Amino acid sequence: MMKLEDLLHYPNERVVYFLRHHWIVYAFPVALAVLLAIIPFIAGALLSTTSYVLNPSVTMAAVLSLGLSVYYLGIWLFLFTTFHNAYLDVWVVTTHRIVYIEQHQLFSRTVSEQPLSRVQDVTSDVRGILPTMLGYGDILVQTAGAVDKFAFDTIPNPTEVSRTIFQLVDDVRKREGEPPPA
Amino acid sequence: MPLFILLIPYALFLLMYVSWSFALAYHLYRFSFSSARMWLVVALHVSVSAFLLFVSIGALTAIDWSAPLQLPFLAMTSAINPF
Repeated sequence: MMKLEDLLHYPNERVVYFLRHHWIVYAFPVALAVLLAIIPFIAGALLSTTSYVLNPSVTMAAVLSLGLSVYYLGIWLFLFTTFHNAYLDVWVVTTHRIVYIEQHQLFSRTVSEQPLSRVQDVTSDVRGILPTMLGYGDILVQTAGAVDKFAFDTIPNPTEVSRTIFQLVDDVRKREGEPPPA
Repeated sequence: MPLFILLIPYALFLLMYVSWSFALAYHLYRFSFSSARMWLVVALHVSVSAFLLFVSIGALTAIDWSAPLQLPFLAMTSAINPF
């Protein structure tokens, strides 16, 4: 298990934000799973109202039982996999750096970091009715490094976070005696 | 051909399910930052999986797997005889 302290490299460095996706990222797959889970019940109810019935046989009972078992276990595994991929996406903003840990899928992850002194531009983006009402959105951080863009996808309070990052960048520049970019 | 032949692909699926779940749980443990929520979700996954398997086994034990496999099994018959 990882510890937040392991990410801190500089003296006097402290974590300002530890961010994960907004809960809405989990809500959509859960809604889809619920929808998929009730489909067999709807199909069963519809079949019972028709004038045709399926031939009752042992083979059909076996295929239906095995099929439903695979179907529901598959839905549940899909939900767990979705949670895994979203939960392991983490953005850490410290007083010195931004660290982005991205989980693409199982056994595939990227860890990238940028010092705040390289940040050139911070843009927050809240677009749509749902993001505005629930308070989530994206942040795009433009840097001068090899990784020229950092995207914070679907995070809570993006405006507040981007404002704080900008303030932290300003503090770093003052500390290092750099002039702000023109 | 006996019906239990259908259990072979099902067993392979279960093997894949358990391996995939274990890999996800290990990955969560190895790479997540200490959090009670992670343990809660792993416990929930194990509990729901156990419940689904329990219900499945209940349904599958009621079937006579030594019976012959009949194809096609999806033939439909009219419940209303017009003649």
